[in-house]
Amino acid sequence: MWGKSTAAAFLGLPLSVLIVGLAALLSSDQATTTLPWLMVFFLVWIAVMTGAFLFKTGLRAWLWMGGLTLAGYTALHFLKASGLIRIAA
Amino acid sequence: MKAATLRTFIAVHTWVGLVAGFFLFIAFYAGSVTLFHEELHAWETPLPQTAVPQRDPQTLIDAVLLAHPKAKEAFYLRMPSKSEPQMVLEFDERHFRFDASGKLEEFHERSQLVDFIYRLHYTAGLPNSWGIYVLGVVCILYGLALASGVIIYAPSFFKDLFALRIGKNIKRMWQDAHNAIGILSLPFHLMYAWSSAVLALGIILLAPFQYMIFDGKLLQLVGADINAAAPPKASGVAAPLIPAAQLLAEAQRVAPGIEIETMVYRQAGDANAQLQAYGPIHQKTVASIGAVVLNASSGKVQRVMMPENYSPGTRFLRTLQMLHFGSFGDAAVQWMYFVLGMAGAFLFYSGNLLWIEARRKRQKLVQPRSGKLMAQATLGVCLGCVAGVSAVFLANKLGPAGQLPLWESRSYYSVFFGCVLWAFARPPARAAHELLMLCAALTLAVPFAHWWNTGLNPLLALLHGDGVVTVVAVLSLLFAALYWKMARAALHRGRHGDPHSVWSLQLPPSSVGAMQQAA
Repeated sequence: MWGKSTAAAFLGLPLSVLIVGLAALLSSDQATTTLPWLMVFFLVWIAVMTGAFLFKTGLRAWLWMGGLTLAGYTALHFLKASGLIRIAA
Repeated sequence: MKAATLRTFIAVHTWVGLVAGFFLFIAFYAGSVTLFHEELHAWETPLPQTAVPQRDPQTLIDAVLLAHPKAKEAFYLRMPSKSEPQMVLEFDERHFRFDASGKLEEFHERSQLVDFIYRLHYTAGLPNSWGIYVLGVVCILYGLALASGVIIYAPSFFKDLFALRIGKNIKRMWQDAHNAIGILSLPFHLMYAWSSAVLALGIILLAPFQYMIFDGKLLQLVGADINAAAPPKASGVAAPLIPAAQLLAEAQRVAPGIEIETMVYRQAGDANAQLQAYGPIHQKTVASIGAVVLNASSGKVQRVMMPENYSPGTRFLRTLQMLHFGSFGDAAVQWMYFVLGMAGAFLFYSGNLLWIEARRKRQKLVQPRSGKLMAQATLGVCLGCVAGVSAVFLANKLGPAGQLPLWESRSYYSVFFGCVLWAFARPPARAAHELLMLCAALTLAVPFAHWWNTGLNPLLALLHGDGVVTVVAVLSLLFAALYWKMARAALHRGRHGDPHSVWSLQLPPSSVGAMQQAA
């Protein structure tokens, strides 16, 4: 229980920021859709933290969520660097 | 669903609920009162009986800028309203207006009853600078409690939806009441968890997006959706202000139907001087605030934000905020929110009581210490808040004029902490009875204190057209009666209820034996 709780508390925020951030950056009209995505962020955050408790053990929660977070931010970095994803501002 | 998953979510619901429950009780109780902030403003400071002469706003601006040149960087002008018939200029949290003879005066609010209870709503009584962030985190826990609560409840949704099994099994009854209120007012709670988190944490949670996703360019994307205009930079070229009446007329021309309530000036006296004028436009939308941005020294209109031309993001944000404040549907919405808000406070109170019931040892007279401590903490914090809020109302009418804000906050904190100490000093059943009696007495005293202070009989007030006084009196009597009944029930359960409980006043047989021996 402590493993899952700490995974929810520490990994929930960066992972949901990543999910919502990617969705916002993939939009074709970022100036219009970014703020709505930022509002939806709160729901995604709660969903991700709730999801952390669905893993069988705390270790699995940490590995899956931590792995996704690391892989996601690395992918985002390269997508931005290669120009495949642009920030429209 | 697997039993293990269900057990996990029951644990999540229990623990986030217990941590957040105390704060949420205070937020909901104080918030329900704050719904009526405009009406209560008239109750706390009686309106002047004579008509206040209306002056040109520019005369107040000129007088303040002459006396305090540094105000020109930023100041607010609040136009006269029903609850505040005088125009007020604010800068650096200082308030200015004209006195009866037409001279400029700086003044302090005579009373801060409404402001105090509003701060209590979003800080739970913690210091202003960080209390709101604590409550922001509480909102996230509240969201988690709602999600896990729904997951736990989902399997028996249809069976239990309208069940309220009143009977011998007290835990069953409390559980049914908790579930019924929780599920039937779920949309209301979802909206509150969401909108409160946006209000309390929205600004600081821009930071991770700004730095980790948008490479520092987020505000260029969403700035125009969040604010009507960015603060201007001074150009260094002096230019006089265009008279306020002329700017107001221009704002009304470009935003027909706007009733301007607030004017925000920045860099007055500079060529880049900016005026943001805000006010409601009645267009039958939930978010109804329009904004006009003008250059205050050239009169050029820079932006018009009307509910009808809001961007999707602005509409989303403002609508969520308006749903939170309940200011979109007048009295019907206020009263519905009041009932749901009080029911919400009960939801959190009953959640704690359920935890104690769940931990009750049915066969043992000596109950676990955790149950007793939780009972005492729940009583102290929840009833301390209830008694404290009533004490603020009393202080407003009984405190010495001129020092009301100080007396109001002191009376809240002394009653609140007094109740917490009392709850821990007494057995739970005694504390429940005595604190509820205190709540009833303080609440009952409110209309009488008002009567004594103003000489205005609450029934006669209705004839004079002052419905607020009468409604406050009726609600006080109603709530006092409720607290009195609850106090009686707590004492009755202590004397005659199941002795295997922290709420029992019946002595365990071992100590009875010891006393008989001593006698």
